[in-house]
Amino acid sequence: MSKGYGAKTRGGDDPRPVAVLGMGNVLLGDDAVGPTVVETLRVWYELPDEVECADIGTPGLDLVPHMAGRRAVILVDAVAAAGPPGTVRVWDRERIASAAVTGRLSPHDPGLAETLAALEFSGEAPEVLHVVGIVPAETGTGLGLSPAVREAVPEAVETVVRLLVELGVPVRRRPDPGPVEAWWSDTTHRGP
Amino acid sequence: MATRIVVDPITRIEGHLRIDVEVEGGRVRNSWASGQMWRGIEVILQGRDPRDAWVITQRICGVCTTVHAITSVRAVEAAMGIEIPLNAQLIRNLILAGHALHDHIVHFYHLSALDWVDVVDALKGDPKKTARLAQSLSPWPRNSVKEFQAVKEKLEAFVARGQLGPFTNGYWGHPAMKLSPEVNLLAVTHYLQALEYQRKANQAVAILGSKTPNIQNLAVGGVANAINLDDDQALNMAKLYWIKDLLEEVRAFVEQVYLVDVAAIGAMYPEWLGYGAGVTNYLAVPDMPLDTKGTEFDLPGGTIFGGNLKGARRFESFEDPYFRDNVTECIAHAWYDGDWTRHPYEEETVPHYTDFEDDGKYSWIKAPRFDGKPMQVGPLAQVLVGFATGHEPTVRHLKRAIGIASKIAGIQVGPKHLHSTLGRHLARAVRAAVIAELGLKHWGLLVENIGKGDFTTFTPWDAPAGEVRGFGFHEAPRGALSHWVVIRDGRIANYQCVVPTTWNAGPRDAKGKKGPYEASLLGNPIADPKRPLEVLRTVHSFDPCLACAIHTLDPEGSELSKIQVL
Repeated sequence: MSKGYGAKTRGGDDPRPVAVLGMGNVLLGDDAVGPTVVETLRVWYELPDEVECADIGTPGLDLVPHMAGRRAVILVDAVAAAGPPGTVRVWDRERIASAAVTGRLSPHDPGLAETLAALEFSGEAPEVLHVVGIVPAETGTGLGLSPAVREAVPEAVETVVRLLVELGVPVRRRPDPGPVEAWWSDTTHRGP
Repeated sequence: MATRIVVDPITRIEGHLRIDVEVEGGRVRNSWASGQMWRGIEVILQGRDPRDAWVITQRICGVCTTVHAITSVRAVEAAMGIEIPLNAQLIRNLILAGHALHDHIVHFYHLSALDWVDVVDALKGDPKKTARLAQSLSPWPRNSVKEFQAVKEKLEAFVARGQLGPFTNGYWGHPAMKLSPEVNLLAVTHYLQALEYQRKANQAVAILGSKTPNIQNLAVGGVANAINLDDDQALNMAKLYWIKDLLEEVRAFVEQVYLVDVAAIGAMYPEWLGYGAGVTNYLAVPDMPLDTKGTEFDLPGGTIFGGNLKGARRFESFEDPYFRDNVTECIAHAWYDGDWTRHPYEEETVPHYTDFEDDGKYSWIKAPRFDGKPMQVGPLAQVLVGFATGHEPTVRHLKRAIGIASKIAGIQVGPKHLHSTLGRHLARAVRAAVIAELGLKHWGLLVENIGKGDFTTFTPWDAPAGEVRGFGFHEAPRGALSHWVVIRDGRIANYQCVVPTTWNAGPRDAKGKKGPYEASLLGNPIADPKRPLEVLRTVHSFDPCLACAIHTLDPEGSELSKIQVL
């Protein structure tokens, strides 16, 4: 009976075949870039029902339910990679899987590599996996993105859109998008 | 002469923890636990609206989001003097039960079982013998020859492709690995099944919280769930029964698989029922409140000193002054400015990094104390308090676990063995069984209350003028979590989180007394200093989580954990 409700919940085996997941700790400066890109994508683009678009924080092994059984997953995250702050790069599943064997993707495992490996063993790994990475400038405690990373957000959003189109997912730019309201950059947020 | 081993960072945990041990004659003689990343996220909260605190604090850690959210609303409600509706209390209880079950299953199977289970050796396991053994221990329907055969083939395929998947970097063939090939095959099979059941527990949280991680249904004053049995968008009968189905499935897994596996594997390493005790002062807070005020609880909490169960003292309410007045944090050996021991309401968070100084400051973690003493927190503390105070479900599940372990070990395992590395795993499984049972009980209480026509989930309130202060606690999967808030004219003036891993992983205090991790490593054997599996066993048994700090992906694949033998 559970299938009918899946679309209303997130984090528990959502049945939608494609996911765009923003990872990162929004309290740590540029580490908020993944969640910010996902919120921006949601505001700027109309996405079909088959796509889950979620800010998932820093879930560690709790990535499992977000990735299991999907056709395609696009992860957006701050990455420790070559290039100046704000550089946007894309990695595919093969690169990530090989890193899982030789070393680890994250200095604070378990994370992506561990999740992917566990799902490969259980036979539920997503067929397609992309990581859209943005090189951060500042990841100290504090709210808000650095100028270089803030300026890279549109490029990262367009990169995700390009990958979605390659997957055959129809996306449409909203003619009149409203402002992007992420609470971690909007200090006026209130609970209900 | 002593050999110093530095493990930096400890793997298979969330966050960055460094452990140093000095080994002499094959045993640990001295030890240091060091949190390598600055938290101080409390600073972000100063000057903000207290209604926002839970939204922000649940982002402290990517894994423990739910627990910080619940503790934060409890703290602000205590400061404001708000009593929440019974439905809200019970919905929160269901969320924390689902979260705890998810967390405990993940910890045992996916984060720590590989300290005890030799995956490569499972390839030698005979599926028929494995099934016979498993069926003698448990009625679990998936302990079939077919299931074990399928997993063995899967594992063979992995190894044939030259990879071990999730099991890369394990200590295979280590002399401290002692399970038979059949038990190893059993454990690998249940590792895969556990992947399914931890998700079911998580799904129950997602239905109520509308999203995990970072649930969205809380509010200072109750929960934001509308209850309407006929409305698709609201919490209705179909969703309630879906939650019940999930909890029942998870309960069966916990009782028939998790608890049995921990007892059986534990019994095959009986020497580890003797190592790893460390600090035998225990602190647990009561949880799963049964009333709107928080004066009656289904999970007991209290203190035990020096392992003396007869002297256990309970906490009676959310406002118990015995808890409020006895918690302090000490920064004598932590990278903060000054040298003080203060109550959380009076603390400040000003970083002052030195370097790793054995006799000086060496950790970002403060050292919490209760009545001036280091305390061990976590499932073991909670189960011991429950056992000592005669909590019926705890006593029943503990007796069952001990019975299984005693039968296999051929020795009488008793409560005294719980003060140990494996005791912490056993207690976690017992706690999971208790919570699985209570989760279903509280589901029944919620449905019963709704059946009386009570649909209230939120109490409106006004912020008082002037200064108010309050604290909230929650017995989280890793132990006693408390948030302390000072509110001045409707804004946060001070906010401190005293988290379970701080209690356990904290450094020495001003008197030089070691924290629980440090103390628990003393006397542990170390068979091979280059592969200090024994250190991992004891540290992992606490279920460390230091993810309250940065995580940044490193796709270039830099080397992870360095072990230095000096």
